[in-house]
Amino acid sequence: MFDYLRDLRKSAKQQQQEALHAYLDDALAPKARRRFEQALARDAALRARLEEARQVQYALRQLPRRPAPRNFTLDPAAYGRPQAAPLVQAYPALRVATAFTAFLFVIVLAANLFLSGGLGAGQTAVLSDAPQAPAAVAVMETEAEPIAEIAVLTEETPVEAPEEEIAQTEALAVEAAPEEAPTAAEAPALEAAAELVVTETDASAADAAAPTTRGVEPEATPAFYPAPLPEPSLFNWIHSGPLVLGILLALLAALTLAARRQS
Amino acid sequence: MDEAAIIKQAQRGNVAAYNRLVIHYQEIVYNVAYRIMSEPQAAEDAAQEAFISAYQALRRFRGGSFKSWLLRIVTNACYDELRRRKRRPQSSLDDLTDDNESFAFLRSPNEGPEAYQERRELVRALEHCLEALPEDQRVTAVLCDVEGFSYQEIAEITRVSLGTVKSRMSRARAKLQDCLQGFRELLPAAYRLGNETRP
Repeated sequence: MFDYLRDLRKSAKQQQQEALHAYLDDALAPKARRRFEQALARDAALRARLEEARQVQYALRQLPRRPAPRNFTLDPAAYGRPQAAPLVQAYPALRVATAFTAFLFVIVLAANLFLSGGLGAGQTAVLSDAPQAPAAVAVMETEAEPIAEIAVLTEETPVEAPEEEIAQTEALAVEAAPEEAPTAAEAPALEAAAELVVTETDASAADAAAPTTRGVEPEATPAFYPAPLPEPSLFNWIHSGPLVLGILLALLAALTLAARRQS
Repeated sequence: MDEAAIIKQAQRGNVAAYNRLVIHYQEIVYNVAYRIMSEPQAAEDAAQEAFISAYQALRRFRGGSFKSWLLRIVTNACYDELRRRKRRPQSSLDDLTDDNESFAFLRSPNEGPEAYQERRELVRALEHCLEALPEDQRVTAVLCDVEGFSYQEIAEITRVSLGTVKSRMSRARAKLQDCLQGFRELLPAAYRLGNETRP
């Protein structure tokens, strides 16, 4: 294939010159040979050039063969068993593996570039949402019981609270929630804090506690929640694939070159 | 000679079997080395090095033409030596050897001194023109025109594509043709006539 591409760059004169020598050495394909013979029949100058080339070839073939000046045989005492070469035995397999990995590398790299261009924003959203979802669940779990208790208190003491007290309660609740919500193991502590809030305010404050806990809910996304690892997916693999394949390709190429050098 | 069987014996460490291969191929190996290196002593060294390397690498031989494999080793040895010389140029003792001694092998008992002299001049002219070629073209021309290998075999020996062999051969012959114009009177009669009749 490379020969074909290289031939495209050659001038007609160069191509004819090469065909002339290949014809002389009987190395032309049948079709090219017929074409060259037709050109030869038409062109007297081409015939003359062919004759000159034939004479050069003839002269070179007259070069005498020199006798070997001595025997090049090896001394059996000095040379033992020929060395084994495991790498060379694996050369064909290594070559195929390198070619396949290179192909895969190109495909994955192209897919990676395509997907990161087309779906980059979506991927970012998914990745940023991933740690938040479980955190929100944890907050809901830890706060479920205090809310229930507060609701009970509200039913028992339907007294109105002053607005400053409501605000104060809200602030306490907001501060307490993110501090004590981190893990399910700390849920009892959060429960106690919520009870404390309720007991510190008077009965009418319970009315305000409900909106407080509702208000905490969207904000309760602490950054220090241990983010679970994202599920391995095709998308993630494609994202890290070029790096892995690149390393593998470099390794295989080095081994193949070493095997080739040995052979 | 059952070459395949001898190669197997040699691969198992039988140096005597390998030496049979050496004796069989030493002349062609030496001649290829000589045509590439253009010096008897350098050719001798390259041939010896090639036979040692071939023995050490014999277990890596995976079948095919043993001759091509051996010639690949010797051409590589010659390339290495030529590259080394380019880095560290040195004058050769071969330049000082007696010309008559160097061409003594040409002498034939049935040949008169004049014919011998003419033949020697022609050989010198051809060797001079071969030496003037770039290395890759010289190797291709030697393997094709001097040793008579096909393009396919040359491609295997030199590890290049068939197209590269064609291209190198075409360029080599064109340069040889130009170079030999200076020695026209030494060339065969047909060659001289061909050139003289050209416009």
